[in-house]
Amino acid sequence: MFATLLAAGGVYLYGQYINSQLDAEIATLNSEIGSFSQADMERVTQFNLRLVQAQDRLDNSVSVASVFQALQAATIDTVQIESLEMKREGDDMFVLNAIVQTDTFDSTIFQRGVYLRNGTIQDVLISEVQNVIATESNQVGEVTDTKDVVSFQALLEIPLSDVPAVPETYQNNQPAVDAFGGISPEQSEQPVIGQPVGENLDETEEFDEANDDTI
Amino acid sequence: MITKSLFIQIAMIALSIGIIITFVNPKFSEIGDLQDDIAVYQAEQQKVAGVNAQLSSLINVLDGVAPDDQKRLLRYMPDEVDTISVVRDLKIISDEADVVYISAASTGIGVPASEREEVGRAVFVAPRVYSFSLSVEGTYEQVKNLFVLLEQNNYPIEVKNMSVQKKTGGFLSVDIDLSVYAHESNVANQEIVF
Repeated sequence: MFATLLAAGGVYLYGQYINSQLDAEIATLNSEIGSFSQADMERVTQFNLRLVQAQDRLDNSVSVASVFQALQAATIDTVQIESLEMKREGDDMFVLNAIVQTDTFDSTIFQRGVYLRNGTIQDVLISEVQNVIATESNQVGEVTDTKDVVSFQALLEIPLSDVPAVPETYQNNQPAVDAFGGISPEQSEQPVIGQPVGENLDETEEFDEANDDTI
Repeated sequence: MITKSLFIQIAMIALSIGIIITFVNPKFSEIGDLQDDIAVYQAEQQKVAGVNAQLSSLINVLDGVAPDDQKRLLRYMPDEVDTISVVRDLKIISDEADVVYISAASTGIGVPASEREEVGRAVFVAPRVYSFSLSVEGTYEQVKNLFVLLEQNNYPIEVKNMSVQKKTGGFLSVDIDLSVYAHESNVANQEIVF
């Protein structure tokens, strides 16, 4: 009987101890939850989202100049592109629609073969092949010359992955630009190209500079 | 005497059994439940502490990003696109490329791009798209140069559509549709996977 009473007392006291331990755990959990900073979380989330969005655009940035290079490399000498339409299909490909003139049907067939063998151009569709008389006119509109040409429409697809923009090549700026003989190194260092979108970011600096000038 | 003592002993045993059944045993069960609850609270507390520690380390990483890099990121993916600045930049780039600048204009402001699902990531919130048009004239080399300079810009100017028409004297007339992007801060659907 005494043992039972002692056991009952012990169980009661242990129960009280466990209860207080539970209260302590709840208090600790509440304190831990309370120390969570929603503002910090939002800051991290926003930064992460901005990074992801920037990374997404960076991953899908392409070089239109490379498209021109590819087209140039795949165009034979006797071919002349009269007009070119290019459309970017999402982040997948460029679709090029070119009206092309050649001197003979043989050139047309040869050109088609060159397009098909080109590694960058994926899909090639040649249509509306026709033999026409092309006229050349001067500024006034008078016809100066006529010639027999073969005209056709070329529908070409270039995957974006084949013409990626490589920002590393722009780090030492000169090669990419100098290849076209465009800009001198001094010019390329001018803060002209690539001013931030929304000059509002730098408005304070500009305002300060303006004030300095005034003073 | 012996009978009375035996009766008392039986009564005490019965009382002990009664105490065990009605108090000790239920109390044990209650203590067991409380211990389970404590284990659950401890596990949850560890999870919350883990999230707080992770958040704290991410904040440290964020604070560790160099101001210049943060500025570059803000330029690459700004909160808002100043359309006038972009049109001005297009004019400047055209001048740098030596093409004949005809016109540039903003054609669409802040259109939110559609969301899309990505593998292994929460729903991707695409940036807002600002559309612009640019018309120029120039030689083939000048036009190529224009595109090289557009690519080198420190915020993305993407060519969406382009139309090139041959003009007299070896000149090309080029109409370009361009896209510029701004950060879309739709955090409702955004989730960081730790």
